[in-house]
Amino acid sequence: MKVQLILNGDDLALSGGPRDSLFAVLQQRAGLFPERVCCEQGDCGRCHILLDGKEVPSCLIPFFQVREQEVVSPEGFQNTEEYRQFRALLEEEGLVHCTECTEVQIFHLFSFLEQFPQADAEECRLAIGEIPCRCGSKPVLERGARRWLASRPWPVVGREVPRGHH
Amino acid sequence: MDTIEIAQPLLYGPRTLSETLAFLLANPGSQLIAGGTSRAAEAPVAVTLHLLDDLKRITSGDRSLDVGATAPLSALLSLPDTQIPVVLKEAIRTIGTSGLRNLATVGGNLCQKGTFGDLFPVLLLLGAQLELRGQRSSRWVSFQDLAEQGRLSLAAGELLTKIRLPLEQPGLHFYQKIGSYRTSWEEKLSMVCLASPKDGLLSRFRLVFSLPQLGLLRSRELEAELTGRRLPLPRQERDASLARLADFLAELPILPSVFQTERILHLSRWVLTRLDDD
Amino acid sequence: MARKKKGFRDPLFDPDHRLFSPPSAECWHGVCLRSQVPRGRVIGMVHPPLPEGMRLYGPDDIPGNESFQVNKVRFPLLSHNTVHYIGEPLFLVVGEAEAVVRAFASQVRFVVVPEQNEPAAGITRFLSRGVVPENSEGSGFRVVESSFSSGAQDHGRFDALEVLAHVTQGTVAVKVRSQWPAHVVSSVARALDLDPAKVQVLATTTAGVTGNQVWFPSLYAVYAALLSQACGKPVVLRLTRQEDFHVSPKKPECKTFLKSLVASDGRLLSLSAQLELQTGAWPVMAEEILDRALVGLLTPYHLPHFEVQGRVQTSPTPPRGPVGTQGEGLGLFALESHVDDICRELDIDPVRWRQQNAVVVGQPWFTGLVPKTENPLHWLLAETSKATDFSRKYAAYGLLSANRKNLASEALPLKGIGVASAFQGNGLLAGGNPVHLEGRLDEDGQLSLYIPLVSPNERQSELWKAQAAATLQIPQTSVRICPVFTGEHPTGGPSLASRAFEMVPRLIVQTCEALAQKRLKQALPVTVKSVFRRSKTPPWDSEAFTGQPFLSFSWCSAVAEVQVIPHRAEVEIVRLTLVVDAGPRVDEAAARNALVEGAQMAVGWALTEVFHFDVSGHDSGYHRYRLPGPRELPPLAILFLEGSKELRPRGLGNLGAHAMAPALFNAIRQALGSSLPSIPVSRKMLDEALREPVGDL
Repeated sequence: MKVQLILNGDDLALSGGPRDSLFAVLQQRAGLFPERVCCEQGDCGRCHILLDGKEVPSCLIPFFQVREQEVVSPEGFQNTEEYRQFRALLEEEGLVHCTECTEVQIFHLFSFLEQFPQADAEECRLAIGEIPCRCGSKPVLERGARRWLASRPWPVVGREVPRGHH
Repeated sequence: MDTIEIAQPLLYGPRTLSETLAFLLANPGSQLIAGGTSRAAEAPVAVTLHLLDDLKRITSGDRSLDVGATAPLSALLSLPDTQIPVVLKEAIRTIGTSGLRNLATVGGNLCQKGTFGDLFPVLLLLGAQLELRGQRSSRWVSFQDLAEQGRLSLAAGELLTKIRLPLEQPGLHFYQKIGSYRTSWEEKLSMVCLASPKDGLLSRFRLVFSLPQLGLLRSRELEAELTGRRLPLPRQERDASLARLADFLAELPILPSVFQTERILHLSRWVLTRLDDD
Repeated sequence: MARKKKGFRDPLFDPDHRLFSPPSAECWHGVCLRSQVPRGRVIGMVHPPLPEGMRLYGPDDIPGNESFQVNKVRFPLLSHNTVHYIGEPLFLVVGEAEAVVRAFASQVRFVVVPEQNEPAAGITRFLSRGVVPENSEGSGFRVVESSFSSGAQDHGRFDALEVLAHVTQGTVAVKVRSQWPAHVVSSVARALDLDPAKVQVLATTTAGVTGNQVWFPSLYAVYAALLSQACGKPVVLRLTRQEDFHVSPKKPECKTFLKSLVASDGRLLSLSAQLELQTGAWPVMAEEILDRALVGLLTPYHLPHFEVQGRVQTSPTPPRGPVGTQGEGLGLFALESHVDDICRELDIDPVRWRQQNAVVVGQPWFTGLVPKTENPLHWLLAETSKATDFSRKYAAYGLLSANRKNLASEALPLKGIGVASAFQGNGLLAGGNPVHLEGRLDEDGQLSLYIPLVSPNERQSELWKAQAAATLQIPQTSVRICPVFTGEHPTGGPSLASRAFEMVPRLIVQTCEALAQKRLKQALPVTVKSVFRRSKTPPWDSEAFTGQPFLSFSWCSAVAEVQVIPHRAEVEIVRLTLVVDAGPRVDEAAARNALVEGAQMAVGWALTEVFHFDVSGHDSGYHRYRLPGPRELPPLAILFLEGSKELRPRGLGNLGAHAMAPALFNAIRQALGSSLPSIPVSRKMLDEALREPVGDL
C-alpha cells in the first residue's frame, strides 16, 4: 500500500505492507535510522519520532496509521536550529558523546521538554532514565534540561483549562 | 470510509462512529486497532480507529470526566489536578514511557487480551463506568459489574466508546505498582486505596489489589471493618485487621505467591499507618 | 609476524577505504548455526533444502588454523564434533537476503549424542606469605569468616555485535567494534592462512563498558572473513540482541570465602581466602582476571600474613570476559564486604578500620615491594567520611537497624549506609609488550598521528590533537588521528587499553617534540616513530605474585546511603558519593562521565541485573535483564582529590564500579540487619531478608 504523509517537512508517499511498522518502513524505504536496531517493544527509545508533534515509538505504530499526518524523525530534527541550540547547551554542560544513545537522548529529551515545559527536576530525571544506556551522560542531560527550561519563555500556569472539550 | 483492498488482511479506516458501528455489526470478529501498541494487523479483517476524532475526545463536566476510548494516556496527564482524580494520574505514570503514553489509549489499556490492565482497579474504585455503543444501542456498564463478570463482554457490533469517571476526589489515595513487564508474575502486583477521613472517623475505605494470576483481590470484610473507625487507628487494631487479612489470603482458592502475600500485608500496613495523616 | 620496514598503512585515507563501506545491496549476510544443547558429540545436522545461492560453511572449510587463540587459550572456531555449550557455533551459513538466511538457520537442528566432555584444564593459584600469629587463649584475637557470591553481568550495551568483512584479491578488510584490533588482524590472518599484512581493520570502540570488545569481536570477524572468502562477497555478520545476550562475554560469577584473624584493636593480622571464578567453557583471559581478582583481595590493606587460593571453574556455558572490571573488582567486592563483617564483629567504625589497616609509607605491599608513593587511602577515607557524615550516620542507622521490628510495625523504611575503598590497576605489567606511535609531518603542514588504538570518542581524539598541536605549535585543525592496525605491533591482553591510554599522550608529546627538532634539520615530510617499553620496574610475575603488577594505581572510596522499602521490597538509593584520586584530569567532563558509568555498572551489578545460566545452559532471558532505572540512580557526588605525588593522569574507568558495589551491599546489609550472601540483591532476597527474625548480622 502507498501512504501519503509529510516526512521531515516534505510531502511524499511511502510504500509498505499492512503488517509493517512505521519504523520498518522509515528505515527500509526512506533510508532513515541507518543501522539503528530497535527493541520492537516501545521500550528503548531508539525508534522515536514526532507524530503530529508528539513523541512516539515508531516501532509500535502501524504504518498505515500515519496517512496524511506529519512525521519528524531525528534526522529531520537535526537540521533545525533548536537542535543546534539544545546540543550546544548540552555540550557546554560537558556532554560526552555516546555512540549508542546521545542522538536518541537529545531527540527524546527535547521532545519531552516541549511537551511538558513545566516538568520539574524529578520528572526530567525520570524522562532521561527512560532511554536505557550504560553511558554516564545522565547528570549532564539533567543539568541541560533544567537550563533549557529556565531559558524558555515562562509557560502560563495556574489557569484551568475551561470545562468542555480537550 | 476509506477502503484499502489488498490481498490479506483487509484494513478499514472509518472516519465516523456510525460507519464504524455499522461495519462492526456486519463483520463480527474484526480486529480493532487503536493506539497500535499491538502493531500488526493480524486478523483477516482489521479496523483502525485512529481517524475517529470522536473517540479521542476528553470532556469534563461539573461532576464527571468523559474520556474517549482512544484518548492517549498522555492527554489525561496534561489535565489539571482539579479535573481528574490524581490517583488515576499516578497509575498512568507507571505505564510505559512518556513516548508510549502518547500512543497508548485508555480503552486499549482496559481491553488487553486476557487481562483488564493497570487502570482497571483504579477506575473500579473511582466508580467509573464504560459506555458501549452499537449501531442502534447504547448502554453503560459499571466497572463493578465488569469486575464481577471477570471480563468485558461486547454484544455483536458493540464498541467501547467512552469511560466516565466521577470527579469527586477521595480524601486520601494510595497507588503502588510493583514489577514491570520484565518481572515474573510471582513478583508483580498493584494496589489502589481510597480513603476519606472525616471528623476523626474513617468515613470511607476501599482497598483493592491486582495480581496477574488472580485478577482483582478485595476484602469487603476488611473494608467494612475499618469504615467508621476512629482515627488514628491504634496499633493493636491495625495488627488485628492485618491478621484477619492474612487469614483471608490464606483461604483463597488460588493462593498468591509468598512474595505477593508479604507485599499485600506490608502495603496494607503502610496504608493503615498513613490513614492518620489527614 | 613479519615486521614491515615502511610506515603504517593508512586505511582511512587510501583509496581502499571503499572496502570498508560496500553498498549494502552488495553485502551478503552470515549467520551462525549454533548448538541447541550444552554438551555432547555431534553426529549429524538436519536442515531444509538449502536455498539457491546460500552456502553452508563448516570446520572442514577453514583454510588456515582451525582454532581461535587468545593469549595461551585456544578453542575451536567451529567445533568438529564436540559441543561445549548451548549456542556454540558449529557451522556458518551465508546468503544474499538476511531474512532468508535467518529463516533457514532457525530450522537447522544438530543431532547430538549426549556425552560428558572433558572439561578444559583449570587454572589455580596458591599464594602464601608471612607468619600466622598464634591465636592463643587470652590473645584477644578474633576470627571472622565471610562468604560471598557475585553474579554475572552483561555488557548492557544496546547494540549487538556487527562485523563487516570484505575479502578481495587476497586482502581482507574488516570493520568491527573492537578494543583489540591487533588481535582481529592476527586471528583473521591465522584462520584464512594469510600474511597479517594483508589484513586491514577499521575499528571503532565504545568507551566505558568494553568487556565485549576485547576478544569477542575477533571471533566473529574471523567468521565473517571466512564467509566472505568463501562466497566472494562482502559479508555482514550481525548478532541478534538475544544471541549477543547469550554468547557475549559476561563478567565472571565469583564465589569467595574469607577468614581473617584480627586483633582486638582492629589490626588485621592474617587473611585467608578461597576465590573461585566461573569462566564458561573456555578459560579465555581467565588467568589474568583471576590474578587481578587476587590482587584486588590483597592490595589495599597491610597483611602480615595471607594465604589465598584462586581457582577457575569451567562449565558448559559461553566463555566469560572482563566486563565492568578487569578482575580487581571481583576481589575487592569480597574483601570490602568482609571488612564490614569484621567491623561489625569488633564494633569498629568501618572508616576508622580501613584507615588503620591501609598500607602506609614504609609498609610493603603484599608483593613485598615497598611503594614509592604514598597510598592515599587514609586521607581519601577521611575526606569521604567528612563529606558524607558517614560515621555519625553509620552509628545512628546501626541503632535503627537493631530496632527494626518497631520500624516494620510502623511501615517505615529501613536505613543503611555503607563505605568501601577501591583501586584500579592501570597497565598490567605482564608480558611488557611495547606501545608504538608514529607521526608524520607533511609539506602542507598536516600532521598525521598513527596510533594503534581506537579513540573511544571525539573528545579523546580532540584532546590528543590538542596535545600534538600545542607541542608542535600548529593549528589543531592540521592534526589528524589515524588509527591503524596491521598486526605488526601486537600488544597483549585487555590491559592494552589502559596501558595504551596512559602511554599515548606521553608518546604524542615525545613524538611531536622529536618532529619539531627534525623539521629544523630535514626537509618535509619527516617521520618519527616512538615506542614505550616498560621501564626498569620489576615486571609482574604472575606465578609468584612478585614485582609490580601495574604501571600505576588509581584510588577511591565510596559511600552509599540507602532505604529499604518493605512494602515494595525495594532498595531506594538515597545518595552516592565517590572520592577519587586518579591524578589531574585532562578532561574533567570525560572523567566524571566515566565515574558515573562505573557507578551505574555497580548499581546494576549489586541490585538489578540478574543473569545466570540454568543447569541446561539456557540464559535467564534478555527480556528479564534490567539496567538500573532512574529510581536507582540518584545524583552521584564526585570529589576529586590529588593527594599522591603522582602528577600524571591515571585511568579511572573502573573505579566507580569497583568501589560502589561493595559500598551499596554494605549499606543494604546494615539496613536489613541481615547477612545477605550475594549480589545482585534481588527483590526475592529482600523479601526473604525482611521475613527473617531480627538478629545479629
